[in-house]
Amino acid sequence: VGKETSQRLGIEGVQEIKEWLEATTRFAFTYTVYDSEPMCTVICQNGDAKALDLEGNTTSNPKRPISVECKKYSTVGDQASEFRKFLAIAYSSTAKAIAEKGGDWQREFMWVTYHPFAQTNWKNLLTLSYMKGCVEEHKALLGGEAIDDDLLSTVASRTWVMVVQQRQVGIRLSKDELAVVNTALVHGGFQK
Amino acid sequence: VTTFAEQIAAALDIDDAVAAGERVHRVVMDEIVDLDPSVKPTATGYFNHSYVPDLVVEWKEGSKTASRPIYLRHSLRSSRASGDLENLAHADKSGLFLSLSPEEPEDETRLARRAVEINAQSRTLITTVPAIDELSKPVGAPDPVLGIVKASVVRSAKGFFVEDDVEKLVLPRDRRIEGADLEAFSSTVAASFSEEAVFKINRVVRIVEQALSDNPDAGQILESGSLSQSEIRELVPYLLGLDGVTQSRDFWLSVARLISLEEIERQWGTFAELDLTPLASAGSSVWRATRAQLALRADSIDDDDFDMTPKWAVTGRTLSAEVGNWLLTFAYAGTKIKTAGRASTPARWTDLQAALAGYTVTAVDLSGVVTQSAYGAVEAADMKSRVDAFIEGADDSFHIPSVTVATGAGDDAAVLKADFTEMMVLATPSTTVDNLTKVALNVLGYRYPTDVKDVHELLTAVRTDDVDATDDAGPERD
Repeated sequence: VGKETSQRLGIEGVQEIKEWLEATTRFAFTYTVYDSEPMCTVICQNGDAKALDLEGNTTSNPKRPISVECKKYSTVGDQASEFRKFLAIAYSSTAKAIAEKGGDWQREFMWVTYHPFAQTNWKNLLTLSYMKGCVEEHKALLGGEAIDDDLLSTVASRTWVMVVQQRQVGIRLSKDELAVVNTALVHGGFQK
Repeated sequence: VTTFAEQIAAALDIDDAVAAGERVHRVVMDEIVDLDPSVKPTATGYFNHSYVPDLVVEWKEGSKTASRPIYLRHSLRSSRASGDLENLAHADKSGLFLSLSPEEPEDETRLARRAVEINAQSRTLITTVPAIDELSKPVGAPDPVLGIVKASVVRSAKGFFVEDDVEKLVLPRDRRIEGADLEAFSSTVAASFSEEAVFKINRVVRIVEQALSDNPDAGQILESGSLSQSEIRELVPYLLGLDGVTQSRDFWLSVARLISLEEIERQWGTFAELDLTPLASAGSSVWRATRAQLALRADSIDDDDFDMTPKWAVTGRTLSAEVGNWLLTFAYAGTKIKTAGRASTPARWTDLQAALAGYTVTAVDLSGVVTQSAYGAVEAADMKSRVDAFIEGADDSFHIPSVTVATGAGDDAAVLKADFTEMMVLATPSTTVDNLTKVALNVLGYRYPTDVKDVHELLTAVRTDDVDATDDAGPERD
């Protein structure tokens, strides 16, 4: 088990992203990687364990699990190659879960970064062909299994890329405001 | 028996994060209710969310519902990173932040403690599972001080405490404390609870102190106000079962003053199976009720080994007393003892003469024809002579379903209707339990008069062979 060590966000930074995403009312996170690495870990087809930063679920009905990886790059750095590996992990762990649990876990994968990357390729990042390239690049993760194009396209549709800026995170509603919003949403029948 | 900390660890030991949350919520809710049975926790469905609490506990405060949000955090470090300490700066925040971690690094506890120290007015509580574990360790013998401390945590604890602090809070465990221990206990209580809870805890400390004193000083406990549900639950059964507890009527009277019959009826389960005699004999002079029903005591009353000692208890959700041939039940709320068209035999006027001596009769139901004084109870003319005149003209066997007498004066004035067909005394407005007792026994129970010594013992818990009948068993005079 190895936490991605490059440009990792500290515990306060991860908590801030957690709070920012929860402020949308669309997500609820139960663990950060600092709380429990095993609970934030997904397993690839070759048995490699990858710990991501946040473990949680959507607040939709039914709930879907979501893993979030947060990056605090201040330059382009090696983010593009890290992201390519992230996509391969998303695909391989989903394939592994289907093979093991006999059903699709419908997990969403979100990449949150403070710095844009791969700008020439930006509009292709979540296309089938780009994703296939990433998976082929990290073939070892597949443990010898063939690539399933249908699943590739499904995983691509469940993958998020969010580029944030500190002020954008800062304009989220405060916890006190959100408590009011949440009460109103529950009262209005929008949340349980 | 597994500890709270072990149960938390077991609940979290599962791959699925959502299931882990549900399991941990159940364990925490059980623990909360164990600590304080008067609160009701509800899970929100969120686990470790940044602004939605995991649980909300609710409880009654008079007619209002009060609540406190509970936030579960994986560690003090995680709690601090999510900004929980900022709540301490806001006096209106009352959240309870519970770290689930089995241990915390010392620098984290130091940071939390410092944040609490500079925000002494805060109502927020930051604590840990091992601290709660320490608090809920089983005790050899129940101790009401420890009991009230535990019962106050969920609603009223504030600041920051870990095991070391809780060790001071549980000093009363299994023994009475003095000296340095008492000081450590008192200062930790003062730092860890709301002002109101500190007052209640100290009141329990003082009551227990006086209960065991050779010369109890009722002045030490006489406070206005009333005991809360938790205080009653922790204190009253303990005092009544305490070896060597004082017999001082002043002591029991001052405790009784802090409890009402209404509260006893509400919490009847706490009092069931207890011999309430020392408390209720004193309480009878201050507790107010609106109804008393009279019934014959148990069938086994004729057995040689039947214990004829007058005594008090709570049976069938109401206060009751056994004395002589009678079982009395009392109710503050009319709904607790209902009239039911029992159609018992009305009384013969001539048989009642002795029983009514000394009472001012304000109304008599002459089988449907109510004869009533035209004045209020206080200045009411005694009806007896008018009834006498009426009955003289009727036949000897004239029966009356009810007779109403006036007792007391000023704020204590009440009219009590003794209804022979229901075997019930109904007071308007409420009156003291001892007043109801006397009217019930003297007037309703005229067929089997009760020994004045027994009545005296019932109302004072003292057996004496030298009782002045008019003082202790007779009607109250203005």
